[in-house]
Amino acid sequence: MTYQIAKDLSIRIIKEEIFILKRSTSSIHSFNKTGTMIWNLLQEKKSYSEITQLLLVKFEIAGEIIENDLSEFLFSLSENQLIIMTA
Amino acid sequence: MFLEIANQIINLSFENSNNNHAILENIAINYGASQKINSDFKIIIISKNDLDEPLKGPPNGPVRLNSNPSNTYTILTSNKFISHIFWPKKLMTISIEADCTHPDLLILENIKLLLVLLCIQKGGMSCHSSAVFKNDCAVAFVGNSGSGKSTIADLLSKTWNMIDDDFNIFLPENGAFYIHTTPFYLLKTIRGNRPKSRPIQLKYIFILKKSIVTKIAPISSQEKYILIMGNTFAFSISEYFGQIMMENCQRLCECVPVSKLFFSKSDDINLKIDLHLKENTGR
Repeated sequence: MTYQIAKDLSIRIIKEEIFILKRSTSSIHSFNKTGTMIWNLLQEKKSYSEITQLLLVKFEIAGEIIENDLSEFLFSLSENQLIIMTA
Repeated sequence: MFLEIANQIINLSFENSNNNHAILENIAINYGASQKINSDFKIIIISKNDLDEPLKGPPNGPVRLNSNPSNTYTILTSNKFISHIFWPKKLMTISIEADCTHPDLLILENIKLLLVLLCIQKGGMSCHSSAVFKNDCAVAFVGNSGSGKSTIADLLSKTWNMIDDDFNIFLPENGAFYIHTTPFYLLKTIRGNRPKSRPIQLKYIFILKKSIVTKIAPISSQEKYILIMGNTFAFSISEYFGQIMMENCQRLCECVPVSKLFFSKSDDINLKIDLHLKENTGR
C-alpha cells in the first residue's frame, strides 16, 4: 500500500499545530500531535511499515494497537481526500 | 469601494435589465478590472492595481475556452454559463453552487467572487456570518447554514444596527479588522433601511451554535481557526490563494477576540452580549 498526499492542499503550521485546507472541497482539517507526526512522515514519503516502526519506538505501545490506530487515521485521511491510497 | 460597487449592483438588478452588461462593464473598469461580455462568455480581467500581479492584457473579441488555460480562471455554474477570470500564471477552477438560471444572479455571483478575491488579496477574509454594530463597535456571528446567524442578528436589532445577515467582508487596517458593507445585504433591503456605509471596526467574533440555554464559552486557538476557516466563502481556490487565505485567517484570529456562543431564542441575548463585551472589550 502506498500513500500520496493530495495535490489540492494548502498547509499552514500555527504554534506547532498543522492546518490543512482542502481547496477543492473548502474543508479545513487539523490533527493532534501524533496525527501531525504521521502527516509529516507521509510527506517524507515513508511507507506504512516505516511509519509503524517509528511510532513503535516513539510510543512503546503494542504493535497491534499502533497498527489499528494508524490504519484508522490513514483511512480517515483517505476518506477526506487528503491522501490517495494505492494498493 | 464596496458601497460604490453595491450601489451599481443595485442599479444592475433593479433598473433597466437591458443595461446590465454595460453597468457590469463600468463596474469592472471603475474598480481596476476590464470586462468583455458576449452571449456565451462573461470575462473579468483584474488589473495589477488590485491584485499585485502583472496583467498581460485582455483578449479582444471572442475568447476560446482553451485559449490560454495556464492563466485562465474558469467558473462553471449550474446552468452551464461559463465565466473566465484571467490571471497570469495562476490557475484555478471555481464551482458556484448557486442557482444561476437567471442571468442577473449569475452576474451577482461573479461580483461576489470578485469581491472575495479582492478581499483575500488585500489581506482580508470573507465569512458566512451576520454582523451588527453600535457606537463604532461591530460584532460578527460566524456559523454554518441554520446555525442562527440571521436569527441572532434579528434578536439584537432592537439595540444594534444590522450590517449583514449572511455574508461579510473583513479587511485589515492599522492592526485591526473592519467590516465592510457588501452589495448582497443591500440588495435584500433595497426597500428597507440601509446599513451604515463606512467600515466599522470588528471588535468581537462569536461562533454560533444553537442551544437550549444561552452560554458564552471560551474556544481553543485550534478550534477558532478551524471554525472561521470552515465558514469562509466556499469555493475552490488556487494554491496561491489558499496560502494567502490561511495567513489572513491567522491574522484575524490573532487580532479579534473570539468566543463560542450557544444561544437560545428564549433568553435575553441582548443583555448577555452587552455584558460579555463590556467585560472583554471594555465596551
